[in-house]
Amino acid sequence: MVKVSMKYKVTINIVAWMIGILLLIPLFGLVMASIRPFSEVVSGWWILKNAHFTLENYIDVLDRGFARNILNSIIIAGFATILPLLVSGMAAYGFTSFSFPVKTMLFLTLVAIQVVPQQAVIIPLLKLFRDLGLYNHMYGIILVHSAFALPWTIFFLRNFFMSIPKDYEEAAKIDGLGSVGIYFRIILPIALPAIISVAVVQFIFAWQDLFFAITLLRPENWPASAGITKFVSRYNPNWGQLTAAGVLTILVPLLVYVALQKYYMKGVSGGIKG
Amino acid sequence: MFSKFSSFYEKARNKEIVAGLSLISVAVILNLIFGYFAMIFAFYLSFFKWDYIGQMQFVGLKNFEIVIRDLIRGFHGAPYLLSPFYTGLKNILIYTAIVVPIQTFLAIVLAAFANQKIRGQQFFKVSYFLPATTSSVIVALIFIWLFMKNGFINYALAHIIPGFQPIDWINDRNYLLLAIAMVAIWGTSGHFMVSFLAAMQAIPREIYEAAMLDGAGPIRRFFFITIPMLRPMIVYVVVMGLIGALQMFDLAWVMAGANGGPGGAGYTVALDIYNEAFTRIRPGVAAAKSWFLFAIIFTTTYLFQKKYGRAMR
Repeated sequence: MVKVSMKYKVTINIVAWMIGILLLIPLFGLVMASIRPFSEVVSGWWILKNAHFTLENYIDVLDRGFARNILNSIIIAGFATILPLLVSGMAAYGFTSFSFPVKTMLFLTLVAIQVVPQQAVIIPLLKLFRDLGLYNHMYGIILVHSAFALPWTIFFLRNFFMSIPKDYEEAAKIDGLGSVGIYFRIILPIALPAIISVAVVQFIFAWQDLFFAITLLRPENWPASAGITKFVSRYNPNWGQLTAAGVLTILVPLLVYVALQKYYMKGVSGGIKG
Repeated sequence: MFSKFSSFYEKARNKEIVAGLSLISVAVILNLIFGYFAMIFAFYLSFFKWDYIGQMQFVGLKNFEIVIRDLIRGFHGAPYLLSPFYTGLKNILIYTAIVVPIQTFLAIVLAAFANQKIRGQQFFKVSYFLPATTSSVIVALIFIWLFMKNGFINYALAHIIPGFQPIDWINDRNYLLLAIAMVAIWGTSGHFMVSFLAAMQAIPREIYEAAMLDGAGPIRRFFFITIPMLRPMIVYVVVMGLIGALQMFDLAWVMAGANGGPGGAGYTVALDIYNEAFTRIRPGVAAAKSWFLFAIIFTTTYLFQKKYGRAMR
Protein backbone atom coordinates (compact mmCIF):
# COMPACT_ATOMS: atom_id res chain seq x y z
CA MET A 1 0.00 0.00 0.00
CA VAL A 2 1.34 3.39 -0.97
CA LYS A 3 1.22 6.12 1.62
CA VAL A 4 -0.87 9.13 0.69
CA SER A 5 0.80 12.42 1.48
CA MET A 6 -0.74 14.60 4.15
CA LYS A 7 -0.79 17.67 1.94
CA TYR A 8 -2.73 15.85 -0.77
CA LYS A 9 -5.26 14.57 1.74
CA VAL A 10 -5.87 18.02 3.20
CA THR A 11 -6.28 19.63 -0.23
CA ILE A 12 -8.74 16.97 -1.37
CA ASN A 13 -10.76 17.41 1.80
CA ILE A 14 -10.94 21.17 1.51
CA VAL A 15 -11.89 21.16 -2.18
CA ALA A 16 -14.48 18.43 -1.71
CA TRP A 17 -16.13 20.30 1.15
CA MET A 18 -16.05 23.57 -0.77
CA ILE A 19 -17.77 22.06 -3.80
CA GLY A 20 -20.36 20.45 -1.56
CA ILE A 21 -21.11 23.73 0.17
CA LEU A 22 -21.13 25.65 -3.12
CA LEU A 23 -23.70 23.26 -4.52
CA LEU A 24 -25.81 23.58 -1.41
CA ILE A 25 -25.87 27.39 -1.25
CA PRO A 26 -28.88 27.77 -3.57
CA LEU A 27 -30.87 25.19 -1.60
CA PHE A 28 -29.81 26.79 1.66
CA GLY A 29 -31.12 30.09 0.30
CA LEU A 30 -34.39 28.41 -0.60
CA VAL A 31 -34.89 27.12 2.93
CA MET A 32 -33.82 30.40 4.54
CA ALA A 33 -36.21 32.42 2.41
CA SER A 34 -39.09 30.13 3.22
CA ILE A 35 -38.74 30.32 7.00
CA ARG A 36 -38.13 34.05 7.36
CA PRO A 37 -40.51 36.95 6.83
CA PHE A 38 -40.21 38.57 3.42
CA SER A 39 -39.22 41.98 4.78
CA GLU A 40 -36.07 40.38 6.19
CA VAL A 41 -34.97 38.46 3.13
CA VAL A 42 -35.81 41.08 0.53
CA SER A 43 -32.30 42.49 0.63
CA GLY A 44 -30.70 39.06 0.79
CA TRP A 45 -31.26 35.88 2.78
CA TRP A 46 -27.54 35.66 3.49
CA ILE A 47 -27.76 38.59 5.92
CA LEU A 48 -28.31 36.88 9.24
CA LYS A 49 -28.62 40.00 11.40
CA ASN A 50 -31.90 40.10 13.37
CA ALA A 51 -33.12 36.82 11.91
CA HIS A 52 -36.66 35.76 12.79
CA PHE A 53 -38.07 32.39 11.93
CA THR A 54 -41.65 31.58 11.11
CA LEU A 55 -43.67 28.82 9.48
CA GLU A 56 -46.27 31.26 8.21
CA ASN A 57 -45.31 30.75 4.56
CA TYR A 58 -45.84 27.02 4.83
CA ILE A 59 -49.27 27.49 6.37
CA ASP A 60 -50.24 29.94 3.63
CA VAL A 61 -49.04 27.60 0.90
CA LEU A 62 -50.99 24.67 2.30
CA ASP A 63 -54.01 26.97 2.68
CA ARG A 64 -53.85 27.71 -1.02
CA GLY A 65 -54.29 24.03 -1.79
CA PHE A 66 -50.70 23.05 -2.42
CA ALA A 67 -51.14 19.85 -0.41
CA ARG A 68 -53.39 18.65 -3.22
CA ASN A 69 -50.59 19.25 -5.76
CA ILE A 70 -48.12 17.31 -3.62
CA LEU A 71 -50.60 14.47 -3.32
CA ASN A 72 -51.08 14.47 -7.11
CA SER A 73 -47.32 14.28 -7.50
CA ILE A 74 -47.07 11.35 -5.12
CA ILE A 75 -49.82 9.48 -6.98
CA ILE A 76 -48.45 10.21 -10.44
CA ALA A 77 -44.76 9.64 -9.67
CA GLY A 78 -45.54 6.62 -7.49
CA PHE A 79 -47.57 4.76 -10.08
CA ALA A 80 -45.32 6.00 -12.89
CA THR A 81 -42.50 4.22 -11.06
CA ILE A 82 -44.22 0.97 -10.12
CA LEU A 83 -45.98 0.35 -13.44
CA PRO A 84 -42.97 0.67 -15.78
CA LEU A 85 -40.85 -1.37 -13.36
CA LEU A 86 -43.31 -4.26 -13.47
CA VAL A 87 -43.41 -4.12 -17.26
CA SER A 88 -39.71 -3.58 -17.88
CA GLY A 89 -38.64 -6.16 -15.31
CA MET A 90 -40.68 -8.75 -17.17
CA ALA A 91 -39.43 -7.58 -20.55
CA ALA A 92 -35.80 -7.54 -19.42
CA TYR A 93 -36.22 -11.10 -18.14
CA GLY A 94 -37.72 -12.06 -21.50
CA PHE A 95 -34.79 -10.49 -23.32
CA THR A 96 -32.11 -12.17 -21.19
CA SER A 97 -33.39 -15.66 -20.42
CA PHE A 98 -35.46 -16.60 -23.46
CA SER A 99 -34.65 -16.94 -27.10
CA PHE A 100 -37.20 -16.14 -29.75
CA PRO A 101 -37.17 -14.81 -33.30
CA VAL A 102 -36.32 -11.15 -34.03
CA LYS A 103 -35.25 -10.67 -30.41
CA THR A 104 -32.42 -8.24 -31.12
CA MET A 105 -34.54 -6.26 -33.52
CA LEU A 106 -37.37 -5.95 -31.01
CA PHE A 107 -34.92 -4.84 -28.35
CA LEU A 108 -33.41 -2.16 -30.58
CA THR A 109 -36.88 -1.00 -31.63
CA LEU A 110 -37.83 -0.59 -27.99
CA VAL A 111 -34.67 1.26 -26.98
CA ALA A 112 -34.48 3.46 -30.09
CA ILE A 113 -37.60 5.41 -29.15
CA GLN A 114 -35.46 7.21 -26.58
CA VAL A 115 -34.29 9.77 -29.14
CA VAL A 116 -37.82 10.93 -29.95
CA PRO A 117 -38.39 14.32 -28.33
CA GLN A 118 -41.40 14.72 -26.05
CA GLN A 119 -42.57 17.66 -28.13
CA ALA A 120 -42.88 15.45 -31.21
CA VAL A 121 -45.43 13.12 -29.67
CA ILE A 122 -47.46 15.51 -27.56
CA ILE A 123 -50.10 16.44 -30.16
CA PRO A 124 -50.82 12.83 -31.19
CA LEU A 125 -51.02 11.86 -27.53
CA LEU A 126 -53.33 14.76 -26.83
CA LYS A 127 -55.63 13.68 -29.66
CA LEU A 128 -55.51 10.06 -28.53
CA PHE A 129 -56.31 11.09 -24.96
CA ARG A 130 -59.20 13.30 -26.04
CA ASP A 131 -60.66 10.46 -28.11
CA LEU A 132 -60.25 7.90 -25.34
CA GLY A 133 -61.36 10.27 -22.57
CA LEU A 134 -57.99 10.06 -20.85
CA TYR A 135 -57.30 13.80 -21.05
CA ASN A 136 -57.04 15.43 -17.63
CA HIS A 137 -56.99 12.03 -15.93
CA MET A 138 -54.06 11.02 -13.81
CA TYR A 139 -53.92 7.49 -15.19
CA GLY A 140 -53.41 8.97 -18.64
CA ILE A 141 -50.25 10.80 -17.64
CA ILE A 142 -49.11 7.78 -15.62
CA LEU A 143 -49.34 5.70 -18.82
CA VAL A 144 -47.31 8.27 -20.76
CA HIS A 145 -44.60 8.42 -18.11
CA SER A 146 -44.50 4.64 -18.00
CA ALA A 147 -44.18 4.33 -21.75
CA PHE A 148 -41.36 6.87 -21.82
CA ALA A 149 -39.59 5.08 -18.97
CA LEU A 150 -39.56 1.70 -20.73
CA PRO A 151 -36.64 2.20 -23.15
CA TRP A 152 -34.04 3.12 -20.57
CA THR A 153 -35.35 0.92 -17.76
CA ILE A 154 -35.41 -2.16 -20.01
CA PHE A 155 -31.94 -1.28 -21.28
CA PHE A 156 -30.61 -0.87 -17.76
CA LEU A 157 -32.28 -3.92 -16.25
CA ARG A 158 -31.33 -6.16 -19.17
CA ASN A 159 -27.70 -5.17 -18.62
CA PHE A 160 -27.99 -6.07 -14.96
CA PHE A 161 -29.83 -9.34 -15.54
CA MET A 162 -27.15 -10.37 -18.04
CA SER A 163 -24.49 -9.95 -15.36
CA ILE A 164 -26.21 -12.60 -13.20
CA PRO A 165 -24.36 -15.90 -13.79
CA LYS A 166 -26.37 -18.43 -15.81
CA ASP A 167 -25.46 -21.15 -13.27
CA TYR A 168 -27.97 -19.78 -10.77
CA GLU A 169 -30.76 -20.27 -13.26
CA GLU A 170 -29.54 -23.70 -14.28
CA ALA A 171 -29.32 -24.84 -10.66
CA ALA A 172 -32.84 -23.56 -9.97
CA LYS A 173 -34.14 -25.39 -13.05
CA ILE A 174 -32.63 -28.66 -11.81
CA ASP A 175 -34.33 -28.07 -8.47
CA GLY A 176 -37.60 -27.96 -10.38
CA LEU A 177 -38.28 -24.23 -10.40
CA GLY A 178 -40.27 -22.93 -13.39
CA SER A 179 -39.71 -19.69 -15.26
CA VAL A 180 -42.00 -17.79 -12.91
CA GLY A 181 -40.26 -19.18 -9.88
CA ILE A 182 -36.84 -18.37 -11.28
CA TYR A 183 -37.89 -14.78 -11.93
CA PHE A 184 -39.36 -14.16 -8.50
CA ARG A 185 -36.99 -16.27 -6.37
CA ILE A 186 -33.67 -15.90 -8.19
CA ILE A 187 -33.55 -12.93 -10.56
CA LEU A 188 -35.54 -10.35 -8.59
CA PRO A 189 -33.78 -10.82 -5.25
CA ILE A 190 -30.34 -10.59 -6.88
CA ALA A 191 -31.35 -7.62 -8.99
CA LEU A 192 -33.00 -5.75 -6.13
CA PRO A 193 -30.33 -3.01 -5.91
CA ALA A 194 -30.60 -2.40 -9.66
CA ILE A 195 -34.38 -2.26 -9.46
CA ILE A 196 -34.20 0.19 -6.58
CA SER A 197 -31.81 2.45 -8.43
CA VAL A 198 -34.05 2.46 -11.49
CA ALA A 199 -36.97 3.22 -9.22
CA VAL A 200 -35.20 6.17 -7.60
CA VAL A 201 -34.24 7.75 -10.93
CA GLN A 202 -37.66 7.14 -12.50
CA PHE A 203 -39.45 8.53 -9.44
CA ILE A 204 -37.36 11.71 -9.62
CA PHE A 205 -37.91 11.99 -13.40
CA ALA A 206 -41.67 11.64 -13.08
CA TRP A 207 -41.74 13.98 -10.10
CA GLN A 208 -39.85 16.69 -12.02
CA ASP A 209 -41.86 16.52 -15.22
CA LEU A 210 -43.41 19.79 -16.30
CA PHE A 211 -44.12 19.38 -20.00
CA PHE A 212 -46.52 16.42 -19.89
CA ALA A 213 -48.18 17.78 -16.77
CA ILE A 214 -49.11 21.14 -18.26
CA THR A 215 -50.18 19.68 -21.59
CA LEU A 216 -52.12 16.58 -20.50
CA LEU A 217 -53.73 17.87 -17.30
CA ARG A 218 -55.82 20.87 -16.36
CA PRO A 219 -54.50 23.06 -13.50
CA GLU A 220 -56.79 21.45 -10.88
CA ASN A 221 -54.98 18.15 -11.41
CA TRP A 222 -51.46 19.51 -11.73
CA PRO A 223 -48.67 17.88 -9.75
CA ALA A 224 -46.43 20.00 -7.53
CA SER A 225 -43.84 20.68 -10.24
CA ALA A 226 -46.47 22.46 -12.32
CA GLY A 227 -48.68 23.65 -9.43
CA ILE A 228 -45.83 25.69 -7.99
CA THR A 229 -46.13 28.06 -10.94
CA LYS A 230 -49.30 29.50 -9.39
CA PHE A 231 -47.04 31.23 -6.86
CA VAL A 232 -44.97 32.70 -9.68
CA SER A 233 -45.83 36.01 -11.12
CA ARG A 234 -43.21 37.57 -13.26
CA TYR A 235 -43.41 41.06 -11.82
CA ASN A 236 -44.42 40.59 -8.24
CA PRO A 237 -43.73 37.06 -7.08
CA ASN A 238 -44.54 36.12 -3.51
CA TRP A 239 -41.09 34.81 -2.64
CA GLY A 240 -42.07 33.58 0.79
CA GLN A 241 -44.81 31.28 -0.48
CA LEU A 242 -42.87 30.35 -3.58
CA THR A 243 -39.87 29.18 -1.61
CA ALA A 244 -42.01 27.35 0.93
CA ALA A 245 -43.75 25.51 -1.92
CA GLY A 246 -40.32 24.80 -3.37
CA VAL A 247 -39.07 23.21 -0.16
CA LEU A 248 -42.22 21.09 0.08
CA THR A 249 -41.79 19.95 -3.52
CA ILE A 250 -38.16 18.94 -3.02
CA LEU A 251 -38.84 17.10 0.22
CA VAL A 252 -40.38 13.87 -1.09
CA PRO A 253 -37.81 12.97 -3.78
CA LEU A 254 -35.05 13.95 -1.37
CA LEU A 255 -36.38 11.60 1.30
CA VAL A 256 -36.74 8.83 -1.28
CA TYR A 257 -33.14 9.32 -2.38
CA VAL A 258 -31.67 9.51 1.11
CA ALA A 259 -33.63 6.47 2.27
CA LEU A 260 -32.57 4.33 -0.70
CA GLN A 261 -29.13 5.83 -1.33
CA LYS A 262 -27.21 2.77 -0.14
CA TYR A 263 -28.97 0.43 -2.59
CA TYR A 264 -28.97 3.07 -5.28
CA MET A 265 -25.17 3.24 -5.50
CA LYS A 266 -24.89 -0.54 -5.40
CA GLY A 267 -27.44 -0.97 -8.16
CA VAL A 268 -25.85 1.52 -10.50
CA SER A 269 -22.40 -0.03 -10.24
CA GLY A 270 -23.70 -3.55 -10.84
CA GLY A 271 -25.51 -2.47 -13.96
CA ILE A 272 -22.38 -1.15 -15.57
CA LYS A 273 -20.24 -4.19 -15.05
CA GLY A 274 -22.81 -6.31 -16.89
CA MET B 1 -37.54 -42.55 -30.98
CA PHE B 2 -35.77 -39.71 -32.69
CA SER B 3 -38.99 -38.15 -33.94
CA LYS B 4 -40.42 -38.32 -30.44
CA PHE B 5 -37.42 -36.52 -29.08
CA SER B 6 -37.59 -33.89 -31.79
CA SER B 7 -41.28 -33.24 -31.20
CA PHE B 8 -40.54 -32.87 -27.49
CA TYR B 9 -37.81 -30.47 -28.40
CA GLU B 10 -40.14 -28.60 -30.76
CA LYS B 11 -42.71 -28.25 -28.00
CA ALA B 12 -40.19 -26.91 -25.52
CA ARG B 13 -38.86 -24.53 -28.11
CA ASN B 14 -42.34 -23.25 -29.00
CA LYS B 15 -43.13 -22.84 -25.34
CA GLU B 16 -40.00 -20.76 -24.90
CA ILE B 17 -40.89 -18.55 -27.86
CA VAL B 18 -44.40 -18.00 -26.54
CA ALA B 19 -43.12 -17.29 -23.03
CA GLY B 20 -40.44 -14.89 -24.26
CA LEU B 21 -42.79 -13.00 -26.53
CA SER B 22 -45.51 -12.70 -23.92
CA LEU B 23 -43.01 -11.39 -21.37
CA ILE B 24 -42.04 -8.53 -23.63
CA SER B 25 -45.49 -8.01 -25.17
CA VAL B 26 -46.76 -5.38 -22.72
CA ALA B 27 -43.63 -3.30 -23.19
CA VAL B 28 -43.84 -3.61 -26.97
CA ILE B 29 -47.53 -2.61 -27.06
CA LEU B 30 -46.99 0.45 -24.85
CA ASN B 31 -43.98 1.36 -26.95
CA LEU B 32 -45.94 1.02 -30.18
CA ILE B 33 -48.84 3.17 -28.99
CA PHE B 34 -46.97 5.94 -27.21
CA GLY B 35 -43.83 5.90 -29.31
CA TYR B 36 -44.29 4.66 -32.84
CA PHE B 37 -47.99 5.35 -33.36
CA ALA B 38 -47.49 8.87 -31.99
CA MET B 39 -44.51 9.41 -34.29
CA ILE B 40 -46.37 8.22 -37.37
CA PHE B 41 -49.35 10.39 -36.50
CA ALA B 42 -47.05 13.37 -36.00
CA PHE B 43 -45.59 12.69 -39.44
CA TYR B 44 -49.07 12.47 -40.96
CA LEU B 45 -50.11 15.64 -39.17
CA SER B 46 -47.19 17.61 -40.58
CA PHE B 47 -48.93 17.59 -44.00
CA PHE B 48 -52.21 18.98 -42.67
CA LYS B 49 -53.73 22.17 -41.42
CA TRP B 50 -55.87 21.65 -38.37
CA ASP B 51 -57.37 23.53 -35.42
CA TYR B 52 -58.01 20.50 -33.11
CA ILE B 53 -61.79 20.74 -33.68
CA GLY B 54 -62.67 20.90 -37.38
CA GLN B 55 -61.65 18.74 -40.31
CA MET B 56 -57.99 18.23 -41.14
CA GLN B 57 -57.06 19.93 -44.37
CA PHE B 58 -54.29 18.56 -46.57
CA VAL B 59 -51.73 21.25 -47.38
CA GLY B 60 -48.85 19.24 -48.81
CA LEU B 61 -45.42 20.48 -47.86
CA LYS B 62 -46.65 23.89 -46.77
CA ASN B 63 -45.85 23.36 -43.09
CA PHE B 64 -42.28 22.43 -43.91
CA GLU B 65 -42.08 25.45 -46.18
CA ILE B 66 -43.06 27.67 -43.24
CA VAL B 67 -40.20 26.23 -41.19
CA ILE B 68 -37.65 26.60 -43.98
CA ARG B 69 -38.70 30.16 -44.74
CA ASP B 70 -38.34 30.91 -41.03
CA LEU B 71 -34.81 29.50 -41.12
CA ILE B 72 -33.87 31.48 -44.24
CA ARG B 73 -35.27 34.72 -42.80
CA GLY B 74 -33.39 34.16 -39.58
CA PHE B 75 -30.22 33.41 -41.47
CA HIS B 76 -30.52 36.78 -43.19
CA GLY B 77 -30.78 38.46 -39.83
CA ALA B 78 -34.52 38.90 -39.34
CA PRO B 79 -35.60 39.77 -35.78
CA TYR B 80 -36.71 36.95 -33.54
CA LEU B 81 -40.47 37.47 -33.89
CA LEU B 82 -40.16 36.83 -37.63
CA SER B 83 -37.90 33.84 -37.24
CA PRO B 84 -38.78 32.12 -33.96
CA PHE B 85 -37.60 28.69 -35.07
CA TYR B 86 -34.22 29.99 -36.22
CA THR B 87 -33.80 31.86 -32.91
CA GLY B 88 -34.73 28.79 -30.90
CA LEU B 89 -32.40 26.61 -32.92
CA LYS B 90 -29.47 29.00 -32.61
CA ASN B 91 -30.00 29.34 -28.86
CA ILE B 92 -30.35 25.63 -28.24
CA LEU B 93 -27.17 24.84 -30.18
CA ILE B 94 -25.17 27.41 -28.20
CA TYR B 95 -26.77 26.17 -24.98
CA THR B 96 -25.94 22.54 -25.78
CA ALA B 97 -22.36 23.44 -26.69
CA ILE B 98 -21.95 25.09 -23.28
CA VAL B 99 -23.89 22.67 -21.10
CA VAL B 100 -22.92 19.19 -22.30
CA PRO B 101 -19.10 19.45 -22.02
CA ILE B 102 -19.16 21.31 -18.71
CA GLN B 103 -21.76 19.12 -17.04
CA THR B 104 -19.93 15.98 -18.15
CA PHE B 105 -16.59 17.23 -16.89
CA LEU B 106 -18.06 18.52 -13.64
CA ALA B 107 -19.84 15.22 -13.09
CA ILE B 108 -16.53 13.37 -13.43
CA VAL B 109 -14.82 15.76 -11.00
CA LEU B 110 -17.64 15.41 -8.47
CA ALA B 111 -17.50 11.65 -8.77
CA ALA B 112 -13.73 11.72 -8.29
CA PHE B 113 -14.18 13.60 -5.00
CA ALA B 114 -17.06 11.45 -3.81
CA ASN B 115 -14.91 8.40 -4.58
CA GLN B 116 -12.08 9.55 -2.26
CA LYS B 117 -11.71 7.91 1.09
CA ILE B 118 -12.29 11.07 3.04
CA ARG B 119 -14.23 12.17 6.07
CA GLY B 120 -17.90 12.74 5.40
CA GLN B 121 -18.14 10.73 2.19
CA GLN B 122 -21.82 10.24 2.90
CA PHE B 123 -22.27 14.01 3.01
CA PHE B 124 -20.77 14.40 -0.47
CA LYS B 125 -22.82 11.64 -1.99
CA VAL B 126 -25.98 13.37 -0.79
CA SER B 127 -24.97 16.99 -1.29
CA TYR B 128 -23.56 16.38 -4.77
CA PHE B 129 -26.72 14.58 -5.80
CA LEU B 130 -29.15 16.91 -4.04
CA PRO B 131 -29.49 19.38 -6.95
CA ALA B 132 -30.50 16.47 -9.19
CA THR B 133 -33.45 15.63 -6.95
CA THR B 134 -34.73 19.19 -7.25
CA SER B 135 -37.41 19.84 -9.86
CA SER B 136 -36.09 22.03 -12.63
CA VAL B 137 -38.95 24.46 -12.07
CA ILE B 138 -37.73 25.04 -8.53
CA VAL B 139 -34.12 25.10 -9.64
CA ALA B 140 -35.06 27.79 -12.12
CA LEU B 141 -36.96 29.77 -9.50
CA ILE B 142 -34.13 29.62 -6.99
CA PHE B 143 -31.71 30.81 -9.60
CA ILE B 144 -33.93 33.61 -10.82
CA TRP B 145 -33.55 34.98 -7.35
CA LEU B 146 -29.83 34.32 -7.17
CA PHE B 147 -29.37 35.95 -10.57
CA MET B 148 -31.41 39.06 -9.79
CA LYS B 149 -29.65 42.40 -9.94
CA ASN B 150 -29.37 42.53 -6.15
CA GLY B 151 -29.12 38.77 -5.91
CA PHE B 152 -26.48 36.54 -4.41
CA ILE B 153 -24.44 35.93 -7.56
CA ASN B 154 -23.80 39.62 -8.16
CA TYR B 155 -23.18 40.03 -4.43
CA ALA B 156 -20.59 37.25 -4.44
CA LEU B 157 -18.95 38.36 -7.70
CA ALA B 158 -18.66 41.94 -6.42
CA HIS B 159 -16.71 40.63 -3.43
CA ILE B 160 -14.43 38.44 -5.54
CA ILE B 161 -13.77 40.75 -8.49
CA PRO B 162 -12.95 44.34 -7.54
CA GLY B 163 -14.89 46.96 -9.47
CA PHE B 164 -17.46 44.41 -10.71
CA GLN B 165 -20.60 46.00 -12.09
CA PRO B 166 -23.76 44.06 -11.19
CA ILE B 167 -25.33 42.32 -14.20
CA ASP B 168 -29.08 42.05 -14.62
CA TRP B 169 -28.73 38.40 -15.74
CA ILE B 170 -32.35 37.51 -16.30
CA ASN B 171 -33.37 40.69 -18.11
CA ASP B 172 -30.25 41.14 -20.18
CA ARG B 173 -30.39 39.42 -23.55
CA ASN B 174 -26.63 38.88 -23.51
CA TYR B 175 -26.64 36.90 -20.28
CA LEU B 176 -29.99 35.14 -20.11
CA LEU B 177 -28.94 32.04 -22.05
CA LEU B 178 -25.71 31.82 -20.06
CA ALA B 179 -27.69 32.01 -16.82
CA ILE B 180 -30.00 29.20 -18.00
CA ALA B 181 -26.96 27.12 -18.96
CA MET B 182 -25.40 27.59 -15.52
CA VAL B 183 -28.64 26.50 -13.88
CA ALA B 184 -28.81 23.41 -16.08
CA ILE B 185 -25.25 22.48 -15.20
CA TRP B 186 -25.98 22.86 -11.50
CA GLY B 187 -29.11 20.76 -11.81
CA THR B 188 -27.87 17.82 -13.88
CA SER B 189 -24.21 17.28 -12.94
CA GLY B 190 -25.20 15.46 -9.77
CA HIS B 191 -27.34 13.03 -11.69
CA PHE B 192 -24.49 12.04 -13.99
CA MET B 193 -22.06 12.10 -11.06
CA VAL B 194 -23.69 8.91 -9.80
CA SER B 195 -23.12 7.16 -13.12
CA PHE B 196 -19.44 8.11 -13.08
CA LEU B 197 -19.05 7.22 -9.43
CA ALA B 198 -20.36 3.75 -10.17
CA ALA B 199 -18.03 3.37 -13.16
CA MET B 200 -15.07 4.56 -11.06
CA GLN B 201 -15.74 1.99 -8.38
CA ALA B 202 -15.44 -0.65 -11.08
CA ILE B 203 -11.88 0.43 -11.99
CA PRO B 204 -9.42 -2.04 -10.41
CA ARG B 205 -7.42 -0.59 -7.49
CA GLU B 206 -4.21 -2.23 -8.73
CA ILE B 207 -3.96 0.08 -11.71
CA TYR B 208 -3.86 3.11 -9.42
CA GLU B 209 -1.42 1.46 -7.05
CA ALA B 210 0.93 0.58 -9.90
CA ALA B 211 0.77 4.15 -11.17
CA MET B 212 1.48 5.50 -7.69
CA LEU B 213 4.53 3.26 -7.42
CA ASP B 214 5.69 4.72 -10.74
CA GLY B 215 5.40 8.12 -9.15
CA ALA B 216 2.29 9.45 -10.93
CA GLY B 217 0.65 12.25 -8.97
CA PRO B 218 -3.09 12.56 -8.36
CA ILE B 219 -3.66 14.90 -11.31
CA ARG B 220 -1.81 12.62 -13.72
CA ARG B 221 -3.60 9.56 -12.37
CA PHE B 222 -6.91 11.33 -12.97
CA PHE B 223 -6.14 12.24 -16.58
CA PHE B 224 -4.22 9.11 -17.62
CA ILE B 225 -6.12 6.39 -15.78
CA THR B 226 -9.53 7.57 -14.62
CA ILE B 227 -10.63 9.43 -17.76
CA PRO B 228 -9.59 6.71 -20.28
CA MET B 229 -11.15 3.98 -18.12
CA LEU B 230 -14.40 5.94 -17.98
CA ARG B 231 -14.64 6.28 -21.74
CA PRO B 232 -17.75 4.12 -22.34
CA MET B 233 -19.52 5.93 -19.53
CA ILE B 234 -18.47 9.32 -20.91
CA VAL B 235 -19.97 8.44 -24.28
CA TYR B 236 -23.19 7.35 -22.59
CA VAL B 237 -23.42 10.50 -20.47
CA VAL B 238 -22.68 12.81 -23.43
CA VAL B 239 -25.36 11.10 -25.53
CA MET B 240 -27.91 11.38 -22.72
CA GLY B 241 -26.81 14.98 -22.15
CA LEU B 242 -27.29 15.80 -25.84
CA ILE B 243 -30.77 14.27 -25.91
CA GLY B 244 -31.74 16.23 -22.80
CA ALA B 245 -30.14 19.55 -23.72
CA LEU B 246 -31.46 19.73 -27.28
CA GLN B 247 -35.07 19.40 -26.12
CA MET B 248 -34.71 21.67 -23.09
CA PHE B 249 -38.08 23.12 -22.15
CA ASP B 250 -38.79 23.69 -18.47
CA LEU B 251 -35.84 25.89 -17.50
CA ALA B 252 -36.51 28.24 -20.39
CA TRP B 253 -40.26 28.18 -19.69
CA VAL B 254 -39.72 29.36 -16.12
CA MET B 255 -36.62 31.55 -16.44
CA ALA B 256 -37.34 33.22 -19.78
CA GLY B 257 -41.11 32.73 -20.03
CA ALA B 258 -43.04 31.13 -22.89
CA ASN B 259 -41.95 33.92 -25.23
CA GLY B 260 -38.28 33.50 -24.55
CA GLY B 261 -37.56 36.64 -22.54
CA PRO B 262 -35.93 39.84 -23.79
CA GLY B 263 -35.21 39.65 -27.52
CA GLY B 264 -35.98 35.93 -27.49
CA ALA B 265 -32.63 35.35 -25.81
CA GLY B 266 -33.97 32.36 -23.89
CA TYR B 267 -36.15 30.95 -26.67
CA THR B 268 -35.69 27.26 -27.50
CA VAL B 269 -36.96 24.91 -30.19
CA ALA B 270 -39.06 23.06 -27.62
CA LEU B 271 -40.69 26.31 -26.54
CA ASP B 272 -41.36 27.16 -30.16
CA ILE B 273 -43.05 23.80 -30.79
CA TYR B 274 -45.12 24.29 -27.65
CA ASN B 275 -46.17 27.76 -28.82
CA GLU B 276 -47.03 26.54 -32.31
CA ALA B 277 -49.17 23.79 -30.88
CA PHE B 278 -50.93 25.60 -28.05
CA THR B 279 -50.65 29.36 -28.57
CA ARG B 280 -50.72 29.81 -32.34
CA ILE B 281 -52.88 26.65 -32.72
CA ARG B 282 -50.96 25.32 -35.72
CA PRO B 283 -50.41 21.66 -34.79
CA GLY B 284 -49.33 20.87 -38.34
CA VAL B 285 -46.50 23.38 -38.16
CA ALA B 286 -45.64 22.16 -34.67
CA ALA B 287 -45.39 18.61 -36.03
CA ALA B 288 -43.14 19.74 -38.89
CA LYS B 289 -40.91 21.58 -36.43
CA SER B 290 -40.74 18.59 -34.14
CA TRP B 291 -39.49 16.53 -37.08
CA PHE B 292 -36.68 19.02 -37.53
CA LEU B 293 -35.87 18.73 -33.83
CA PHE B 294 -35.97 14.95 -34.05
CA ALA B 295 -33.62 15.03 -37.04
CA ILE B 296 -31.17 17.25 -35.14
CA ILE B 297 -31.19 15.07 -32.02
CA PHE B 298 -30.89 11.92 -34.09
CA THR B 299 -27.98 13.11 -36.23
CA THR B 300 -25.97 14.63 -33.37
CA THR B 301 -26.30 11.58 -31.14
CA TYR B 302 -25.71 9.23 -34.07
CA LEU B 303 -22.60 11.06 -35.23
CA PHE B 304 -21.20 11.26 -31.73
CA GLN B 305 -21.73 7.57 -31.07
CA LYS B 306 -20.32 6.61 -34.42
CA LYS B 307 -17.18 8.62 -33.79
CA TYR B 308 -16.54 7.74 -30.15
CA GLY B 309 -17.87 4.23 -29.77
CA ARG B 310 -21.20 2.64 -29.19
CA ALA B 311 -22.75 3.31 -25.82
CA MET B 312 -26.20 1.91 -26.47
CA ARG B 313 -25.34 -1.71 -26.64
